[in-house]
Amino acid sequence: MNFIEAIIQSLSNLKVNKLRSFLTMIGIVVGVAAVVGIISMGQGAKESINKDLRSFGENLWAMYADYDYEKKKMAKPIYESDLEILESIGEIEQISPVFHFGVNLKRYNRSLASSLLGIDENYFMITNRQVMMGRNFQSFDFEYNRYVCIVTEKVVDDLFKNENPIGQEIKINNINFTVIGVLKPQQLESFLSKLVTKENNVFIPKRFVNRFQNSTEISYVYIKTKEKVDYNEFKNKLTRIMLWKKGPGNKYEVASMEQQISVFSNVMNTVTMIISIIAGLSLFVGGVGIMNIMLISVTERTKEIGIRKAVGASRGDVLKQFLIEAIVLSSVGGTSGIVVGILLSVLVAKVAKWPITVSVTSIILAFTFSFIIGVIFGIFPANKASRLNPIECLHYE
Amino acid sequence: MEMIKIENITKTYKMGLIDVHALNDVSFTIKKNEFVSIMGPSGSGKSTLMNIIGCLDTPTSGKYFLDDISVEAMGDNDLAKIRNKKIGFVFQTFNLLPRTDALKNVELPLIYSGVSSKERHRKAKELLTNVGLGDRINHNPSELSGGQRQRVAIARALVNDPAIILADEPTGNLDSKAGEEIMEIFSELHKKGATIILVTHERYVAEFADRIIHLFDGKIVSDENVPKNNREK
Ligand SMILES: Nc1ncnc2c1ncn2[C@@H]1O[C@H](COP(=O)(O)OP(=O)(O)O)[C@@H](O)[C@H]1O
Ligand SMILES: [Mg+2]
Repeated sequence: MNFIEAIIQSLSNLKVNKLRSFLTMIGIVVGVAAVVGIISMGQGAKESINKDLRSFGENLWAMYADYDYEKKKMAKPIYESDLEILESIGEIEQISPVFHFGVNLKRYNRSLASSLLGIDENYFMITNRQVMMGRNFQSFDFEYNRYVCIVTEKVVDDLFKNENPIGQEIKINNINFTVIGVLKPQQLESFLSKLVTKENNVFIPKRFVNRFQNSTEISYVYIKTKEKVDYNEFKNKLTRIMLWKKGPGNKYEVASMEQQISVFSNVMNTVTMIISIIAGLSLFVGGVGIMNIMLISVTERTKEIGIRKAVGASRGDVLKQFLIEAIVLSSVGGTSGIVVGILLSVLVAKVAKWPITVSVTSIILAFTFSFIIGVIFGIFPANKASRLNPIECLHYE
Repeated sequence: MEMIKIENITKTYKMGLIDVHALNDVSFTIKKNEFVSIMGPSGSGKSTLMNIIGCLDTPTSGKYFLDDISVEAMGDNDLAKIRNKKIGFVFQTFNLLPRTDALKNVELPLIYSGVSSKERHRKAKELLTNVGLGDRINHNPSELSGGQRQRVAIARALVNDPAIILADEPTGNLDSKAGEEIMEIFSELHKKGATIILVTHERYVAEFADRIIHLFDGKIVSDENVPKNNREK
């Protein structure tokens, strides 16, 4: 008996027991749908978040003085005078020091606890931010003694209500600043947008920072490289230079957006994998279900096996027939599972507003896996059927 | 020419502590185109013998040569091929596949000999027509009478043009009229050159054959030729 003949035979046998075949397949359908769906969803979520993270700025690095837990002391702070030496590093395109601390904002009787960022001309370019109302800082804002500031939407909402804030004055810790622009919120597509709280910041030219505090230590330095650089190599280079400048026994932390993304991606991959393995367990359960039904089927069809052997079916023919039946069950189940899984991930992608990604690898994997499950869980019942004695089969009632 | 040669065959079933000797030192030969009946009381070993001849079962000891080839030495694949091509088996209980129409039932042996589906269909239809069931080919066994079912089973046994036809009480489950019709078919086949071995309880059925072997307690007690005039009934 050739294979096509065997497949036709097993299909017609499965058709005789339609309901049972369907119920048997459900285990595999659910398992495969879960695996394909989860992997596709995981990929979609990862891609959409990566895209958002990238929008914070390409080739972006941050460096700051860190607390050394071993030596139990804070590293020497970074001052603007330390930055000159960084400019000699060839890979660096721009450097932007940031002074970041809490302030109190006030306008008439309204007030708001906010974050102040003293920045230079490069800051908005490096962090990829734009102004949506009014204007951005110009070089003269940094050169002359102009008490101007840019605020985020949250500040406008709380201090101005429905008034136009441009040209109005606010008090930052009792010093008057004129609002010249409102920052456009970060455009996030992924569900990160729902997690990130509304930015509550006020930006001023860094030369005014000393009006608020005596110390001039930099909170952190943004560094933009000309092109993608190796994380470890560049990190070591930066810390080496800082240690040379500030003396040993200090600790300077260096982080990059790419590094964050790759850490995040790894976490997502691991989470996806773990959930998939759990979902995959239902494939195993589905496989056991197939084996169970095939064993019942072999018993029920003992007489049929006897008849087939009596008219010339060899052991191999009987084995083939039952094995193919199991494989057809699991493969049809697997294929339906793939379709359900794709529909599921498309639906979730639509709702969660992340790109529709269908993981081809997961589809191939799921199909191969369900095929293999058919073989593994079908071989035992099929082998049992093939070894039955024809005379005993014919006498079986 | 000796088509079937049985030499000192025994078949012993172990039933707990006792051995049941279903066949006890049985020897005989059957020539090509012979028509042999096997008679004997219930439990005398007739079916056991038929199953061994039909390569469905193996003897405990003794030798069986089919066309001078020792069956003992054959593997499962060769035995399956013999059951498929060389032997057509007709059972007392018909043994048709349920929920499967007459045509599909008759096609079954051809599936295992690799005949194309078109040719299978043609051959099965032709044989069903020969046994008078040309208008019943799409009926399931449950929709056919006993005699009709046995005719489907005969068509299936003949579909691969076997050299030997083995029939184990083919009329046992039929009324006398249907039984006679079935026996007419066997007579017809014999005239056309088939070698037939038939098990029966009934003397008048047995006398369709040239020769009657009597079994008793697993042993051959007589082996007689049927006088020609007797057969003309
Ligand atoms: N599978 C078996 N297990 C045990 N004993 C069996 C088996 N098949 C047949 N027998 C015994 O062998 C003897 C011959 O059986 P069988 O060939 O079926 O007789 P017949 O067909 O002549 O009625 C009987 O005593 C029967 O009980
Ligand atoms: Mg019997």
